[in-house]
Amino acid sequence: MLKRLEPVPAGGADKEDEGLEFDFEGTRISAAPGDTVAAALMLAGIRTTRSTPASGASRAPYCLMGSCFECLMEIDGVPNRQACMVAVRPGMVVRRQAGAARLALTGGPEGGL
Amino acid sequence: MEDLGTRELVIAGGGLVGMAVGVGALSLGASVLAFDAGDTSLRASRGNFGLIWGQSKGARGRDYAAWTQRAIAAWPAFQDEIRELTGIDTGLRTGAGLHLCLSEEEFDARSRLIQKIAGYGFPDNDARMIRRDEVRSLLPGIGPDVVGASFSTQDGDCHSLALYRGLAEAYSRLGGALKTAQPVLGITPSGSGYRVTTPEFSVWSPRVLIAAGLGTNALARPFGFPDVVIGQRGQILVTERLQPFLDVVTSGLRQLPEGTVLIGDTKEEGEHDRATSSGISYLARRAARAFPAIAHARVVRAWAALRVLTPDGDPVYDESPTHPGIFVASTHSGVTLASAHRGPLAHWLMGGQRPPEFAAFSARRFT
Amino acid sequence: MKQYQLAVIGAGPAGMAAATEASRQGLSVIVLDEQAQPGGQIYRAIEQASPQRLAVLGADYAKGSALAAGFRASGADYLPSTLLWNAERKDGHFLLDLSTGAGSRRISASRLLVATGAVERPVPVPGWTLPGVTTAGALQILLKAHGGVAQSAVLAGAGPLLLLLAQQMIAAGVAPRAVVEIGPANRLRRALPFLPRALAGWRYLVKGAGMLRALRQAGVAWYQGASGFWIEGSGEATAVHFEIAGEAHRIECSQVALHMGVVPNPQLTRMLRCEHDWHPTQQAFVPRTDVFFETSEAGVFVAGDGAGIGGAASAVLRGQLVALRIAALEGVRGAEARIPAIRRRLKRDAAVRPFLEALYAPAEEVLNPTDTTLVCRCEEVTAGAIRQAVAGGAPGPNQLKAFLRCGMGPCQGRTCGPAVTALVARTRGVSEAEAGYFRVRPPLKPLPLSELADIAED
Repeated sequence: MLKRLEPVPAGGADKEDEGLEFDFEGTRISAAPGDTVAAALMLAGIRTTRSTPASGASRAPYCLMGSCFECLMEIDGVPNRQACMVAVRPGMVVRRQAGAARLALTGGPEGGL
Repeated sequence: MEDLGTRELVIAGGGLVGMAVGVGALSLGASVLAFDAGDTSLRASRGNFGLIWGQSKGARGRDYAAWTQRAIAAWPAFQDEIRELTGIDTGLRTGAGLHLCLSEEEFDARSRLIQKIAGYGFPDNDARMIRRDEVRSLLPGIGPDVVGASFSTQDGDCHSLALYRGLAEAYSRLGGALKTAQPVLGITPSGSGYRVTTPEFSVWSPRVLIAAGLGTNALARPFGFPDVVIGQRGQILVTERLQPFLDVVTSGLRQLPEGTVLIGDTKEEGEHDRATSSGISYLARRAARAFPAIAHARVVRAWAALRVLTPDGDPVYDESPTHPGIFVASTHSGVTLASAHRGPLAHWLMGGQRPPEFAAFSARRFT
Repeated sequence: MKQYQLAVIGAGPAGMAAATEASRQGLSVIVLDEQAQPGGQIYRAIEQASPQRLAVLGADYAKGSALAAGFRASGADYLPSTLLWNAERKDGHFLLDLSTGAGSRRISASRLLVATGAVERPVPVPGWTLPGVTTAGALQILLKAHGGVAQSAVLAGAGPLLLLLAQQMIAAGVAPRAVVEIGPANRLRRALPFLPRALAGWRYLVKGAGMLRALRQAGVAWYQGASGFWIEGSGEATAVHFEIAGEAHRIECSQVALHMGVVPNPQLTRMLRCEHDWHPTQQAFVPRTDVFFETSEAGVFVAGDGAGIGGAASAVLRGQLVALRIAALEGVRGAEARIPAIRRRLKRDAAVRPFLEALYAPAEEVLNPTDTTLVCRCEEVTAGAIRQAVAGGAPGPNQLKAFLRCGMGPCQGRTCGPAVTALVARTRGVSEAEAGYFRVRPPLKPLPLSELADIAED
């Protein structure tokens, strides 16, 4: 299991840049400043972050440096994003990437990027 | 250098054309050896867009249309043969082949082409022009710039990489020998046949087929052939895997069984080298005009591969005027025509009847 | 379109040092980096590190602070969170297409410095795709950038990073459950002939001895000479298995960190079609360069670990050397005067390398995995399928792509590339140089089609 050496700063209206929280499949996840989505999820104890399009096998972040593409997730409605390269922003909505991406067939191009 | 003895057919080139002919010759009982180049050689067979396509073939004459019709008709049995030999499914899918037109000018030019080919009167070719509304009923999600399309139920696609692998495996199952990383260095007359040499091997055969892509010209020149191949790079974009969303095939955009989408130049006989950012961008813009939702998809690769064009775009199948037994085969349509290469072309090479269309496919037209 | 004399790709030690020096020489410089902050992976999050983290990570990490500060003050333009997705020549310049997160952008530069560092060699062992298994580098990034440590972790493989990570975890108060060295039991004996020369780099040897001492003092189980390593788990990792001298071992754990050394990150130099040579002791392809680190592609330089593994200190020196060379080429008088002194320091810093390369040579079992082991993680292609396709006529990695989709997934062959080369070479019985490597094509990473459509027409 993974744990943090330093506690996550508590959120509060008077503190800017602190208390980063986002939604992961209905669960609120607390993050620290500087966290990527992948790191925040790993340190929150989330073990599996996607299933593969080839066989459906479970996968999780592997290299954390943008190279392996194992951490692909759906972030704010956009599929197949590298969770280790995306900084947490408050209120983000993050989901596991389930197999191949679903192409958004409606809405303008800006809706999917 | 190792002497590999003699074979009834030696093929210079282990791509789609060489392997299809090889499978055909082997099933006639011939002994066959093929030499193939290295891992990074320019391979048209890896860059093929994978269409099974008849509607636009034959602009210069009836014979190319006839040859294509023969190939399409033979494809289902050909696919069964590959599957039975190897277990590999080449994914033939016909029923709706569309070429989208993004302006009235494109539509008019396409109409003239389709009309001319329809005039040959092949019963299976039902290609016709359809207007925007009918296109949309077949392919919801087209962009506002799509004014119409040509449409044929005879056309479609296959999984061209599965075809390539399936042919190579079928060839090997039937006992064909393939020596890779062995580009043919020389073909020299020897007795009543020819000695073919590569960096490591030599072999003798009464018959040699040159089907070596860009390497074809240099190998064929000593035998009285004019240059038959113009190397030209065509660009393809490949997306990430996506959930199935596209069940009709268009000439510039299609989804493969594993979910990736191929985006290619809609000019079927392109005239430009676009292996550049601007080429990538051109394809991307055009694809997004045809089918706006594709703008969301991630492009994993831009693929610039050799397109093996003859000077007029029609195939070349010919025997040397000066050296009987030396043959040349070259076409950029190695997927659609694979079944015909496995059948009538291989039959002719091994001493069978010359297909009647081949009079029009002589290399002499370029001298 | 903005024009620069030098574009540096990568803001690790080599890139930061080169940009700082080139700016000092008066060149117009831009640095492009995929990460949000400078430092590369070795100095990841260096600007945010708390005193507590600096204490855990050690003095070598802390050296990055001054480097980053110098870079920030250098005046070089700096585009973080930016991906270079294609580069091509036009009229004596390079046109660079960038993805900035807010669309595409194009700049031009007279010369390029590839400073994209190293990536970890793939460690294809059974179970390496299970959740709970990461690279050793990933655990170190968690520590550097996020203050995270793994409890109940097994560190497995070979290489200095494995021991450094163990030492840092111990300093953080969460020692690993075990360190398992995969490969021959007599690593040290094999490396001994290279030790005398390595003494010139005694600081590294002292550092290494310190790691081993930390391991011993913390009472971490240290297994050497392990073979037949595999990871157990259905859905996620739960234990590791291996053998030592015929004795089977099983260690329960929830986290496994794998490491088998690092190799130059080949993506950009390959996309630029630079020539590469096989480096037999580093067991990796290295871009071919002249003595000024200019590649076979004129105007394209490579520094840092991307030019051959040399570590952070060498990366800085190489970056400075390249900057001075380019300044001289751009007409700055006297710029090359310092180069001989830099060369001498580079030579001294590299003295330890042959010893380390022999000591930590990759284990044969990850270069020639069992048939059922996945090699291409993205497309789930096994070593057995690759062997079969090679036997069926695929001479190299590029034909394997066509036949098996191996290397065609989203990572574009980044992860499996070195493993595929090793496997092809062993299956065909040829050298790695002859087996070859994946062609790398634009875009350098997958990008939305809309972004590619967005660039200006020439």
